[in-house]
Amino acid sequence: MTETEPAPSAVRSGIGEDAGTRPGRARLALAVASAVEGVPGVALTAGAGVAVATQYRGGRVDGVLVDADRVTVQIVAGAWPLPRLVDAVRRAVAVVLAAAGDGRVVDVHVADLDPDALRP
Amino acid sequence: MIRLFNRLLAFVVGAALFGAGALVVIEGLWTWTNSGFVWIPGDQWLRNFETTAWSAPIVIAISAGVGGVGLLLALGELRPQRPRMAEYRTDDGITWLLLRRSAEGHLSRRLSRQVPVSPVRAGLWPGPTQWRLSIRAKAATSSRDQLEQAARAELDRLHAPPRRRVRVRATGATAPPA
Repeated sequence: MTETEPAPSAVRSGIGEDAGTRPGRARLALAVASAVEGVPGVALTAGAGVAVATQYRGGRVDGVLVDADRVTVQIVAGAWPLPRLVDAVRRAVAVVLAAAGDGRVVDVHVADLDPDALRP
Repeated sequence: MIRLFNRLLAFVVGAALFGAGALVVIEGLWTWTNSGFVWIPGDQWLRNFETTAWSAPIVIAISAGVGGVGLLLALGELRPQRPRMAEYRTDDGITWLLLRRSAEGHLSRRLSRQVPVSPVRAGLWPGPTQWRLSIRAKAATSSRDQLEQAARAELDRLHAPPRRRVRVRATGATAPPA
């Protein structure tokens, strides 16, 4: 299913004018991506093979897959320790979902470990 | 490896089925026009089928061959596959996943840096309660302890479960790393 590209204002604010209602998949994915990219040491990735991404008419959000009942976030980890980093990602996504009144489950996949950032 | 094998096998079987199907269609059309067989020696094959006994050595040999290939394929599919993802569970029941291949690449890179041997190949089997790690390196056998210690330290950093089995195979070099 494709959706229209969200308005820039909606992208910036994360939820946009749909706050209080269930936002569209694309808008939610963009808001989640924005929140995750704000976590230090984290980069989103669609990964190799089957891409983890949300597609909409005119674009796609790599590293965020919004399904019917869950949001999957796929990252490249660039900071230790991993559990703390994943927890920070999960909390960032939870804030977005809570603001949108969305009860989807959050899955975090660590697709890669950045060798340069993970020096001892 | 098994995925590549499956793809190759699917291609070969698909190509063979397509070729055989096309040939049968052509021969069928040709026979329909009462022109006989074109490329297939159909009459001879039919005679062979009618005159060869089930107990003939060629029948038994072909049956055994086909059965053997089938058994190999079945065993290859039934063999336990390494999980694609390492699964982590936190105390509050939350789960997150780490791609196994990334973890293996990370381990190889890190071990190569810490113990100057190359190449280091890491094979990880991340089970729910136990991780198994196999290290293969071109190094002197005296490097084995160093590699194992480094591997265990890296598993700590990856927050592997407490139950771990690390196996190091160091071959192909006579002197320890400088």
